[in-house]
Amino acid sequence: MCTRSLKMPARYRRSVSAGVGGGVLAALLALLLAAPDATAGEIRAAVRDRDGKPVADAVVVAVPAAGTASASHPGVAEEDQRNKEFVPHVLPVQAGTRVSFPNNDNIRHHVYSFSPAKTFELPLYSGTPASPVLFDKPGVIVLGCNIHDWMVGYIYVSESPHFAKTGADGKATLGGLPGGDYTLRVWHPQLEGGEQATARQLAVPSSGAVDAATTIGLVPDFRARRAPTPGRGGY
Amino acid sequence: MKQARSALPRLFAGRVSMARFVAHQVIVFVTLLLVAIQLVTLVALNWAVSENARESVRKEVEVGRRIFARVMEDRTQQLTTAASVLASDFGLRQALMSSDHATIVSALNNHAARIRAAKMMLIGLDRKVLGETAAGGNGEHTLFPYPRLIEDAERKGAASAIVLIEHAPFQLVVVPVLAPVPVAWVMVAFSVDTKLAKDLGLLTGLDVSFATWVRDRGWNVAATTLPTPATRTLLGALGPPAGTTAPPVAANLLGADFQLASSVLGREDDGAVVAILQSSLRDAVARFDALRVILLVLAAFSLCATVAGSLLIARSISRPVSALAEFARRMERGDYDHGPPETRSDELGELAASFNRMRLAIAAREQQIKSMALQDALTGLPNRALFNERLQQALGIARRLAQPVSVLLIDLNRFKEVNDTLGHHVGDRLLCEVADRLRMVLERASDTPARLGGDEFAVLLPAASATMAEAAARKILLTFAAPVVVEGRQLDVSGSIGIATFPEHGDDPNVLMSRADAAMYVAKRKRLGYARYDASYDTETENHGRLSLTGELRQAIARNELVLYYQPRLDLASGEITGVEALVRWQHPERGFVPPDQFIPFAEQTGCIRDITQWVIGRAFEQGARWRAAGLALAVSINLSARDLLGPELPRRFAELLASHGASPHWFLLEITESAIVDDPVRALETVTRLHEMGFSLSIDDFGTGYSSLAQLKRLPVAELKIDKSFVMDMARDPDDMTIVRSVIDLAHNMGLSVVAEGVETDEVRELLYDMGCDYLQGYHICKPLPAEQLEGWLARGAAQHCNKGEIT
Repeated sequence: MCTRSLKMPARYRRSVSAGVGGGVLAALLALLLAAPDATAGEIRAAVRDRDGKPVADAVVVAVPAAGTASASHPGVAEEDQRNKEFVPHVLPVQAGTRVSFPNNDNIRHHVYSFSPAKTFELPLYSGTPASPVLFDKPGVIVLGCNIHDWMVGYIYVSESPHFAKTGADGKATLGGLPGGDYTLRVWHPQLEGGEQATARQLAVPSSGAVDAATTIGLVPDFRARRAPTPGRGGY
Repeated sequence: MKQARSALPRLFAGRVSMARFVAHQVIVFVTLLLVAIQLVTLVALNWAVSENARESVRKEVEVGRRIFARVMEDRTQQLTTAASVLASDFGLRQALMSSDHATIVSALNNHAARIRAAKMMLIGLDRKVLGETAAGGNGEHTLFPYPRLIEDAERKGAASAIVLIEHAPFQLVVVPVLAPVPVAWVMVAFSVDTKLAKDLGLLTGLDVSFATWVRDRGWNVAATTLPTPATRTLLGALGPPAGTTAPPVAANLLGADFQLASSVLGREDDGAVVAILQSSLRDAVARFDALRVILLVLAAFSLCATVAGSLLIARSISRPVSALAEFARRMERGDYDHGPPETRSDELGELAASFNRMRLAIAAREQQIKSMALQDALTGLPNRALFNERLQQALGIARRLAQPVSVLLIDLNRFKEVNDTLGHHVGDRLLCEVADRLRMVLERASDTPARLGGDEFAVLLPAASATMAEAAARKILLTFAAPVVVEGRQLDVSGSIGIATFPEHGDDPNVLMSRADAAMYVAKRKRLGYARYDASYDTETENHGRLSLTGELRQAIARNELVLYYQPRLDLASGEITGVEALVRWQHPERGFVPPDQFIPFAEQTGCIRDITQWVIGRAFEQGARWRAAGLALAVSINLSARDLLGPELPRRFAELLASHGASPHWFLLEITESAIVDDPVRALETVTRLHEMGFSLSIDDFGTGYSSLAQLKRLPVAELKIDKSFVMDMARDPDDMTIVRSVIDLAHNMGLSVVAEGVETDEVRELLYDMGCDYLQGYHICKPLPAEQLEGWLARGAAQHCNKGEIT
């Protein structure tokens, strides 16, 4: 489960998946852990672009028609800055999650967001700031670094606890869903049109999986060029 | 006087005009040539300059256009970068994202001022204007008026365009506000103003104008580097405001004087911004003005120098040419005394030298011609013409001064003989000697000796009476007394002088001369030495002197006044008359009988002798043939003169006569004198040989009187010698003559020639000759010359008697 994976200690994840995006790891864990929970339904989502190519880093959110159970407690999450990139590129969290921004580079970063869902600023720092940032309003928060224009990260704050991020194969599995009707939405940083346009009703059985294939349009990625790093000859 | 004065400048003008003309031609030609060359050069240069200027301006504009495009591109890039940097400013972003309109506007104002932007605008992703500089803060979000720019920026990350904002041109740059993904757009506007135009003008080197076109308002020049009048011109050229779309800017908008390039910077439906780059061709051409001025100055200078130089050269030619022309004119007038004016070392000097040589040669020849005309070539004395002239002058003076003038006419005695026997060269020397003596004997400078011709001299004695003339004549005769020695020979000179004096003997030169002539004849005939004219001389000269007229002699032949007499000659061997000598006689109708020695010598001198000989031959052949027909075998001797032997006519004539009479050459004997051979031995010998070949026998007449040599005699194909009667007549008394006769007879016989003795007048002589062995005798003792019929009678009567006489003796 995604939520569970988010609870995993950062140190552990760092040890097992150095260099691998946290989102991908979470997806793998979700797949691994899906089988034992046989009493819950699950959505096997697949996101493709209009060319039929699998779309990675798409966030699939299932909102139960009955409303969100308030019982769930959002935990904490981490958005690393590693090699002058936000890792993961897309971090879906449930509203109320506190996200810490550890700086794994040996330089300082200045993380900010002008997004209405959460406007914040972590002025130049190194290491892990003292307090994580609380994301309590659903929405998309675009993360930037004031020092490095090309650094872009997305924190998707979901009002629903049921969400997952597609892997490289464009697939994501939302497990542990109580049976019922859901509204399924897909969001992606380059999503063409609004997220609401991708919304679809979906009935999830109490047990078993339902496939949900979604095709989305992508707009070109708009990112500042990465400054050349001395001695590396590239971005 | 007046005429002379007016003629002088004209003469001067004429003198220099020819040379001036040459000089002018030279100058005009050189000047025209130079001007033509310079004109061509200037035209070519002008063409090259304007062509060059046009080309360079064209290139300048082309380069300027590229620079302009590049600069505009760079500027766009710079503005975009600047705008991007500005839009990345964290503070700005914070302000922009604050959603507080007042904050946004103030931030825009602040940052616009930072990059000196004219305007700045914040546009939301929904293309609504979120805020802008210098705008009222009503907070109403209008749509961004240039949506295309946003579209561009979405595609490329940034966009730029030049647009009209309230009819003013601005360059707009739209960049995203990245947070870090685009969250809004910032538009930055920079005015397209005169400063930009100036910057671009500096970079391109052209005049840069930004023209705007707005529908219904037309063209406006928003910014320019041009001065105001040029701006007005440009605006005027751009045209009226009509039209609904921006008209294109033609390349020849400003005419041929300008090269321009235009670039549409921005175009909208109702407006456009056009950049016009222009360069004045005139300015480019003006750059060459200095060169042109230098060239013109050079041309003027070279023209002046050439004209001056050619003037100098032309004058240096024309002056000596004028001088030479003047010199030639002097020669034309006959003034040979002065040479050409100056000597130079060039061709003109050579010409002058040639002129000078010509002058000397002409002068010498003229002198020669003059003297030939008036002087006797042989003696150098004045000739008859000059003498007559002087006589005329002297008479003129004498008449005025009432003075006498005397004329002496001198004729040398026996000069003809000297000439005939000793040759012309001796005669010539003799004449020269006479001339010298005349010159010597005449003391007064006015006394003029002259040679009138042949051996005839004259002396003019102005202001001399007859008595004085007689004294002069005596002196002349005295100087003649000394013999003249020519080639070792002593020749006696004697002359006969006739004197006539003005006014008593006549007042006309011709009359005087003829009277002097008459006096001279008398002096000669009477051997007086000199004679003063007397009226009685006129008849005497008539009788003797006038016989010499050629016409009369010729008439005598035509009128048949001549008669042939025949003198027999006795053959001593047979005692018979075997031949006769034909002798011509003149029976003058008025004068009666004229003896041969009065007309034969004259006929020989004038050449009339040839006609006489012709006549004689004809008659002799007739008579000879008649006698032969009658049985009389008489050989007829015919006398030939020297002149007869000089041409080929004679043998031809003989051949004709032989043929026409059926005669034999043996019937005739041809007699020639020694002197006939002496004159022209070659031709004479030729004729003689020819006659001999024809069969005629030849005889040497008057042998012993001439100067022929034995060598000559040896060459002659003669058969006999006739001893001159001067030896024969007195031989009985003069032992010398006898010795000569004997010697001649011996000589002749030794040479195989027979001998005839002439002038046998006495029996004694006849006897002597007989004893000496002479072959034939001729003379009055035998018989005098008789007409043919008388001879025939004489022969019939007494031939035997003569013959017998001969035999007996």
